[in-house]
Amino acid sequence: MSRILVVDDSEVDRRIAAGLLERALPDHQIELAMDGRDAIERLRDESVDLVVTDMQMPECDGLELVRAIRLHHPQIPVILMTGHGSDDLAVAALEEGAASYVPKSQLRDRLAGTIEEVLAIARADRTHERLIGCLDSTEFVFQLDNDPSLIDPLIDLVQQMAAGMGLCDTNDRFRIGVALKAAIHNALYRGNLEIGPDLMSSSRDAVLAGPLVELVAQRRQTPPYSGRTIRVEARIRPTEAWFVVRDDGPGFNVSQTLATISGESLDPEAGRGLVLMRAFMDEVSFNARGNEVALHKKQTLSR
Amino acid sequence: MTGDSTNSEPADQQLVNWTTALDVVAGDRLLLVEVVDAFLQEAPQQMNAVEESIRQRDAVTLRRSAHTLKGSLRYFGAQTAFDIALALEMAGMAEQFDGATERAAALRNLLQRVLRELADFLQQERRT
Repeated sequence: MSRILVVDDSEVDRRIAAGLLERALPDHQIELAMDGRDAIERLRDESVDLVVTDMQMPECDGLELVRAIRLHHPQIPVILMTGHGSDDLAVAALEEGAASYVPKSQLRDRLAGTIEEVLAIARADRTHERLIGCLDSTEFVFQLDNDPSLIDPLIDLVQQMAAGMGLCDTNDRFRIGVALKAAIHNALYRGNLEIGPDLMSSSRDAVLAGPLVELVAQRRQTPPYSGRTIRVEARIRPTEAWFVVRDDGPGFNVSQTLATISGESLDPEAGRGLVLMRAFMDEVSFNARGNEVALHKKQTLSR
Repeated sequence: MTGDSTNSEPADQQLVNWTTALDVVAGDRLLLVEVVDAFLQEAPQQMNAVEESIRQRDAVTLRRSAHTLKGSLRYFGAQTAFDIALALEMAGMAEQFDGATERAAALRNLLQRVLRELADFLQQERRT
């Protein structure tokens, strides 16, 4: 069981978020805080595993809360709930350390799934951390088939390496994991399986748990999709890391997609994965065909 | 500036879209009752804050109160009221108070109707 703190100054929004979570995640304990200041006091006295917060609040807004948690409780991941008109604040909060975000218009479809995803990352096995701390550099190349169940173990491994080798602190390891997962998801669903934005429009969760499950299963068995693989290269050193994710799909129009998110809009239809990659990595670049993304992360922690 | 944002809905037209409202709570009527109850308590305070902030020329409070009201009105599918709350939030962001008093009056008018529909719903649900 995990304790999840929902922070929102609106009683209506608190009830909706908490109510949806109580029903979707009955094994977790849902706590409520009325604003950022209330949340900081609760975190001082209580043990909390994850914070979900609104952005616009009168006493200590979401951005200030993210900064305070990063400073005093870096092990606690924060997920933002973004409303229309909160985009600038949310982008700033992602840059300051938030682990992910969910538009308020998609709480029903995305909130529980995003929380589970981030909690799974947080629970990643840390037993090898001391040994990994002695590693000076590592490089590995995976050639994955299109099995989504391989993604989380790979992300866990990368996160353990990155945090254990001193590339990043506990909080930043979530962000590396979220960005890399976004890249691999894009390679799998949009690249290799060619599930277009129209079919993916409701949410990625719909692909994983909803009516598109059959389409995914079918394409995994059908040429040309079935013969495609995802190549994931990782080179990690204490000072920086490079990740290259390449799929065998036809690629996408890089400049057009980047143009739609150049205003840093959090519009979920305009490339949430790209927004997360750009917020969490120091450099993000694509090859001309649009089937390969390279991510560069510099050290965020002095050794 | 007042333009169509102060337009009104026909008096006999239902403002709450119950399909939208149920969709927000994943079809859970019990949760909807809780959310409606919260809105009935919160919205009048937010509406007062909108009006007071306009009187005081307090753009920050106007933006925030209108933002909260707007978000809740969207959950209930009350589109015209949502549009007016959005216009007031933008006015707060721009620190532009021209026409804000008229917009707030139009919003109060629609909000009262929304609140009546929600109160009726609550009464019915508690009876059953």
